[in-house]
Parts: sequence; structure tokens; C-alpha cells
Amino acid sequence: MPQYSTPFVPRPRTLPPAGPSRRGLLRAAFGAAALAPLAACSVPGARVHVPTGQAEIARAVSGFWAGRKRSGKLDFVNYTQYIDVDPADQSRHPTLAAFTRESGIEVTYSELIDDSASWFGKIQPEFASGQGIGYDLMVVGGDSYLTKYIQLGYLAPLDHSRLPHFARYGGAAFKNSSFDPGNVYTVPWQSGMTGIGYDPALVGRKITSWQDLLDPRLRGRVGMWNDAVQMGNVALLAVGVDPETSTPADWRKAAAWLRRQRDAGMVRSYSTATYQSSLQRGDLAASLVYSGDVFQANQSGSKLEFVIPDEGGLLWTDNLCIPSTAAHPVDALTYMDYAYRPEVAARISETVQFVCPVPDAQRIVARDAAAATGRRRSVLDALSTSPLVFPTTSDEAKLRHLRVLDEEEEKQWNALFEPIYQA
Amino acid sequence: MERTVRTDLPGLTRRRRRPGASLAPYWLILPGWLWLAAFFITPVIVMVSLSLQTGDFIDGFRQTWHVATYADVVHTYHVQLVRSLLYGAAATVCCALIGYPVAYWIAFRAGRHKSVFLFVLLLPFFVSFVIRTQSWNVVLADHGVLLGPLKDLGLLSDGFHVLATPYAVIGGLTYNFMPFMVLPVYVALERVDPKVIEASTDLYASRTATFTRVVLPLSLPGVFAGVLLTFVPASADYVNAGILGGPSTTMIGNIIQTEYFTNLDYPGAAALSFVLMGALLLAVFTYARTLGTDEVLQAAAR
Repeated sequence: MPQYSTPFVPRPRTLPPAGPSRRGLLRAAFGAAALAPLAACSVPGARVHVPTGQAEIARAVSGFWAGRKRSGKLDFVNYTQYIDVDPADQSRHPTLAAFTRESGIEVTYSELIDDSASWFGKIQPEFASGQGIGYDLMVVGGDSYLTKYIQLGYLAPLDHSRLPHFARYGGAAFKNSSFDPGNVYTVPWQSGMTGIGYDPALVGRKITSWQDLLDPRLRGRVGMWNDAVQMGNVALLAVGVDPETSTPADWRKAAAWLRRQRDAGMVRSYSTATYQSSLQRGDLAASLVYSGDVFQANQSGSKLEFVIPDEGGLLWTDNLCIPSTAAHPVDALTYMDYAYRPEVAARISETVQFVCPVPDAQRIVARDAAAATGRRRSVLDALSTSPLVFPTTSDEAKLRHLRVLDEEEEKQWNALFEPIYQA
Repeated sequence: MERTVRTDLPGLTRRRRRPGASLAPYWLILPGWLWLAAFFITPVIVMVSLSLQTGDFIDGFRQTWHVATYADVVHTYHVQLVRSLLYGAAATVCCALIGYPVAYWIAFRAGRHKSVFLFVLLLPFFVSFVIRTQSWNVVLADHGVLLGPLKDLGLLSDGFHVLATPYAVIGGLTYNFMPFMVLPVYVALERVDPKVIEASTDLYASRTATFTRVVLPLSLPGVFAGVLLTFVPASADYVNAGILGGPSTTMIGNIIQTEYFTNLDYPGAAALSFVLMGALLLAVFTYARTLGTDEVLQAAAR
């Protein structure tokens, strides 16, 4: 059979090369030159001496703050939708505007942080090059990244003599976290709980325990996360261990629990990106959730329940901190203290609806509710009495903290929990 | 055949050149080489170097020529690596099967509205990649606009779902990379001379024969380009698996992301990236060899 396509494309004849050509030699030389830099570039370490003990910390604090003056500017970077907004104009933040009016400090506010990992990946090279990251105040999750920021010397030690409102109004349950004992580098911004969120209509009964996530009736309709920190800590609670004091042997038991859940086909997907909308749509009957998620979903019409399981839930905290390279650290410190006024904390809680680290703000939200009307009133009423925003003492008793991991432990931890959601 | 005199070849005509003019082509290509050196060669060298280092993030990584990292990552993640190539290939085949007729129709049947249809095709892609992908979660929800009515009619069982399955991920990849297939195929088909088709019909070729022996071979360069543009990014994608996937649809892109950002294991991430690059190159060369690159590239050059 004749080929019709070939006559159009005559093949060119090429001469075979005779011996090593000049081009070949040149190529070999380039190859050798290209190998040399392979040996040269390495990534330098960055561990610094972290001050310990009262006296050393005090010296570090006075060393950092000596001679620093207020400059009238503040660059603040935060997670998305994590501060109060003006109901009429989502781009305006009343508490920031009030801060500027009162102190004369101009605030440039941006919401560029999606999650701890990618934010760390983004700013770490800028820290390492010593050029500063262009922000004076940022929010960092209370997880192993916070430990890294501290170990690498990226955070300024806080001068607590200039944080009187934090000392007076900060809730005791939120101070002194295991990630930053004594709040040397951070103060809490907002807290939250990790528990189970579910749709009672789909589940058909009350969920009370982590073991309910192994109920065969929920097969293929449970949402878990692709987040080793939260998954590991939750699974530790599920096997009856307090995460904070857990050992590697406990971690293996916890990983086995998650694997059992996975192998039983319980989990629909491991995704922090989609669990919220999937739960609202009914694709998931139950899922790991943050407390604020359920409150917000129910405000927009869902009928979800949040439960802190009997074995315990997780209390985590996102923190305000000042990069050591900040150009306007005094202004940042001024704002930190401002955020601890109960009125300000109340305004922020009224929008973000996570756990408020200022217990006195509850009073103010209740007062605002009494003064409001219509739908706003019902939202604020719900908020001021919600155990998801202002946990009761019995809830607080059920809450546990995340395990702090050192470098070696973190490797071990990730090697155990990542393969479960990354199969 | 008429013989043309090549005036551009130095051996055939002797024109006087200005001194230094012979360097002109090298000067002209210089920006291209600099670009390649800065944005391809340097990063690749850094990546290879990093992949052979050991250490940890806090104390730094040092060059130790630790080749075993490659064996480790391939051993640990070969399932996800193979899965990525399979998903990428499946998505590419789907793109070709859907995209070719679309490109054909626009090139030959859309008349003077060609640009309108091309624009319509591209319109959704002005919206963010992530948002577009996330929207499929709404469309394909278990009781959503599509599956809900079908389930109510009893056409599908109640437990049926598309989301959180490999089909959803491949579908998402197909959807997201479709223009990269349609556009090159369209360009190739657009260049097919109508006279050639006329000649084919004059020679009593059926419509099928005209397509398989004339149009299809002439459009192969476009398909080749389309396959490259689709297969390579689709295999390395991590957004679709993350948003549409289920418990066992993790792709190698997701693993690299975790290794780099969460585990801060730069050597591991670099080695995986390099293995992925190698696997993709191998797949592409095999494909080019079986299809006969010479012919494809020469047809493209005509």
C-alpha cells in the first residue's frame, strides 16, 4: 500500500560524524564545567542561640528594644478573613481604622497567608538573606513552624512592660502555650478548637466520640485532613492519649487507628481545602472541623453540629509576632497591646467567630447584642452564648494542646502520618 | 523541477561582508541563550546539587553526593509517580479525543466565526485555575445539579459518586488542559491547504480516506505539540488531585509539595522533581520515536 504522506517530506541525508568533532569536545568541556557548581552550592544552616532563663531573655529584650522609636507606620500580614470587617464594605476594618485615629499609626493590612507551610516557604529565603520581609507584625499558627521561627532567631522577643492589656485581659488558658512558654515571642491572636462537625440529618444520631468516625454506617462519607499536625494529634486523642505528653509508641498506635479508618473505607477524602463546602453540601456526613467553620456555616443556613468528643478535642492558637527584621517594631507592639482591649477583641470576634483569647470580650458582645436589632442581634446573641467562641469551663476541661515536636521527632511524626493521607 | 539559486549560502555567492557581521547571528541568539541559562540551566544545576545533599533545614544541607536519596524517594513514592504518569496520559488521550473534533470543527466548519469560537473556548480560562477546579465540586456534588435529578429518577444508585474518585481527577485534568490541546491542533488544521483536500476528492478519495490520509497526517504536528503541552503539566499537576481527589488519588506533585513545604526536605523534593523530569522526558521521547519525530517536525517546518 503506497504511503501518501511521505512524498511530501524527503528525508535529509546526514553524514556520520568522523571521529571526535570540535563540537563534541566543546560539549564535553561544557559538561565538565557544569558539574563543578554541583559541588559548590549548599544550603547553609541557620540555627542561632535561643535565649533561655529569665536573665538571658531580659537581656535579649532590652538589647532588641533599646533605642527603638515609634515611626507612625505598621505593616500587618494575616490569614484571610481573620479580622473584623465593616458589614457595608468588606475591605474596611473598623478596629484598624480606630487604631489609626487613636495612635496616629498608619496600618497597611494584607491577608497573604494561606497556611503555615507555604508562608514559611515564601518568607524563609527573605529572612535568610537578612533583607527583612517587609512586615512588622504577622500571624503564625502554634505549630512546628513557630518553633522554627524561634530557633532560627526570626522573631523579636516581646517587651511585656509595654503590653499591659495583654497581662490584664489575656485569658489564662491561652497564655503560656507549650510552643512559646512565657509568651516570650508571641501573644495569641485567635484560638480555635478541632473537633467533629456533622450533619445530624445525615448521620441520624448524636456523635459523641472519635470512634464514631469508624461507624460502618458512615462508610465513605467521613472527611479527614491532609495535615499531619492535626491528624496526628486528633488520632492520639482517639486512642486515649494526651497529645502533649505522648511518646513515639503512642504515635504508632494513633497512626494504626487512622490506617484502620482508611482501610475500612470510611474516608471520602483527605483535604483541608474542600471539607467545609463538602460538609455543607452533604457530600460528607461528618468531618474533622475547626469550631469556627461550623458557626459560620450555620450562619449561612446549614444545620451542622460541632462536638468536642468525649476523649477530648484540640485547642490550638494562632499568634501575633514581630519579625526580628521589622522596620517598625514599636508600632507593632503598640498594636499588639491594643488588640487585647476587650472592646477591640469583641469587635474582631464578632466577625471571625473563632475562640476569643480575651474572656472579658464576652460581656461586650452581649452588650452589643442587646443594642443591635434584627438579624445582627440574633447573630451576636448566638455568639455571646456560644461555647465555640467562649468555651465553658467543662469544655475547657476536655481540650488538649498540640504536641510540640523537635526536629527529629517531627521527621518521625511525618513519616508515620503523611503516608496515611498521601497514599 | 526548477532549480533555485541559493543566494543566502556563503559558498554560492561571494558578497563583501562588514567585519564582525559573521558574529551577528550569535549576538541575535544571545538573549535566548541567556534566558535558557538563567531560567533553565541554573535552576536544574541547583536542583541536582540540592538533591545530592544531606542535612536538615535548621542546621543546613551539605554536599555529600548522597545518591541514595534517589533510590529512597523512588522506592517510597513509585506508586504516586506511576499514577501521575497514568493520570497524565489518560487526561492527554481524553483531551485529544475531545479536542481534535472541536479544533476540526472550528477550523473547517465555523466559517467566519472562528475567532468567536476560539474566544468562547478560552473564556472560562480567564477565571482562576483553583476556582474553576473547585466549581466542579459544586457541579458534580453527590446530590447536586447533575447527579441529584438522575438519582431522583432512579437512574443512578444512591451511593453513586464521581467526586473523590480517579475519574474526577482525570476529568479535572482534561478540563483544565483542554485549550493546550485544541489550540495547536487548530493551528495545524488551519494551515491545511483546501486545495490539497480538493485534490484528494478529485482523485476519488472518500471523505474518510481524505481525512485519514490527508488531513490527519497534516495535522499531526499540532497533535504532537498538543500532547506535549498537555501531558507534561497534567502529570505534574497537584491542584486537581488535591481538590477533586479521594483517599487514593495522590499525585507526585502533591508529594513534592509536602516534601518541600511541610517536611522541608529539600533534597528529597529535588530528587523527586528530577525523577519526574526524567520520567516525563523518557515518556515524551518514546512517544516522539514511535510517532516518527523527523516527519512530524518536517511537516511542521513546511
